[in-house]
Amino acid sequence: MDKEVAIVGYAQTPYVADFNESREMMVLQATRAVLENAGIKREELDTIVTANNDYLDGRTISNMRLVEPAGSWRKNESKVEMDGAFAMLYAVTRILSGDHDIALVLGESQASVYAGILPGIMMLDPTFDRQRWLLNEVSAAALQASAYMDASGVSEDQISGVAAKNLDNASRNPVAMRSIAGADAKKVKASRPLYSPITELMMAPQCDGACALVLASGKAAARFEKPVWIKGLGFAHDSYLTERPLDTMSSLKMAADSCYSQAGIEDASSQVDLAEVYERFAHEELMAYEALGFCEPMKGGAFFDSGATKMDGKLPVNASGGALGANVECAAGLARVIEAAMQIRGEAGDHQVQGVKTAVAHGQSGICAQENMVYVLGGE
Amino acid sequence: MEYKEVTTSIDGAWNFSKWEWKFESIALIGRTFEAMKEHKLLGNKCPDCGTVYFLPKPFCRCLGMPDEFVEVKDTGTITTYTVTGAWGYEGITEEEGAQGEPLIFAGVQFDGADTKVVCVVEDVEPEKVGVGMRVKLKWPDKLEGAITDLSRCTPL
Repeated sequence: MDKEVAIVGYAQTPYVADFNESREMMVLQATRAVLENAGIKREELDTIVTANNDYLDGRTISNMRLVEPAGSWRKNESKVEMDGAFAMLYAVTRILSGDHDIALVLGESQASVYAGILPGIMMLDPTFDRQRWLLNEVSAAALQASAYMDASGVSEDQISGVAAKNLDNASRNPVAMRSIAGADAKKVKASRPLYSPITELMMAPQCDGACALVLASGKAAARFEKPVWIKGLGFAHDSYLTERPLDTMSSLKMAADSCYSQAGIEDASSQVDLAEVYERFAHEELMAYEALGFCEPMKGGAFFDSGATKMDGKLPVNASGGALGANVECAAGLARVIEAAMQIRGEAGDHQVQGVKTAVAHGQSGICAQENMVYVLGGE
Repeated sequence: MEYKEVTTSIDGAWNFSKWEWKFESIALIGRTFEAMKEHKLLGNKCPDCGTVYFLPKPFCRCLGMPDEFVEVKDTGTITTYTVTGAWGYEGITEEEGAQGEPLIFAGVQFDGADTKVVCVVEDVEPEKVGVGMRVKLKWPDKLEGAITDLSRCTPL
């Protein structure tokens, strides 16, 4: 893709355990903030795509009451029940259709209103898996981690190290919810055991929040300052967790390969300056290094040990703290895109990495990262 | 392969018992109920576009935030209506209308408001009700501080 769709504005509410306002008011804050950031008025929006979830919101067609706060009153609006990174895909395709020039994309949810692991249980196969209460999102991730550790030789210490890196990075990100400045792997490993090998600090904390961005067509982007261009995008879905190998993120690799071919990236490890990865659990970041082509298959642990993905490494990953710093369902993947765009624009403040020209952003949905979405972003 | 003979139902439940959604509407309507003790109806007004919401609401379609309580009148106009009670359909029983007693309810736009409240219209024959008919809120003898306080109208 060459200057067809650009990110021209972004906003994130603080990510917090309890927003203490309705989701409508939370979304209103995000919408007003993103329009201000882009420097446009509501009237200029051609299309709006939101990411939210009927089950989490407690009513079907849960975007119905977001019409006003999302700025979509009497406008072309739709939603996806997945991560916001997929809502962005939908908005990009709408712009590429030629029918729309400016789109608002928004992801949001409030974990404070529901019991944490229930939504994951409702994703399970209803005939055999749901009623036995063995599988939930955490236990399924534990099975994924275990399979990956066996195949790759990655250790609990390395997985803990990833979490420590991200929690420390999150301490420089003002919107993150969970952060531990100077976190070390020992502390992560010694935190509350959930399902082995996963401990509490290896799991992305569920929280409340909303984030949004404004997209513009190549034609419309000319009037905006510092557009961040979408150089490529790719997505792929895999089968249910019991019907695929859990030791590799195959659908993420397919998504990345497709995305890279559009973006002209032949060697991600040398051509990508920074990545924001949606790691719902620490081990998924290591698996993503491999699927995203930052290192060879099954070498994620060694790549991490090299220090390459630290803030001062050659390919920093999750300088924002990633989802381990804040995990809002339907928003955290879109937040990765926003963080990557902020880095390219040089607006990431205390967690800014110098010289970011090309960045990768990743979103996922489903148990054990069943669906994956990858973007390559770049400046002028 | 023919599956029909062995296809069965599987028990399941959607456990909503632990969800606790948040709404500002409780606080806003509380202010309205409080004012009703002094025989006033309070809606709220958007500072940006002037839309008056009754019932009051914290966010506006123009992205403004209604922050000023304004009085609306207890008289209004029927904008739409329906009559039921002579029949019902499966799964729905009309408490008042089950015995064939007509039940009329209408979208009533109280004077000064830009939005409607769904109210039961009493003291009138169904054939006499129509869009544009003027009505007045029937103030309850005893206020309950609940939406039912705002549920009944009579022709003006």
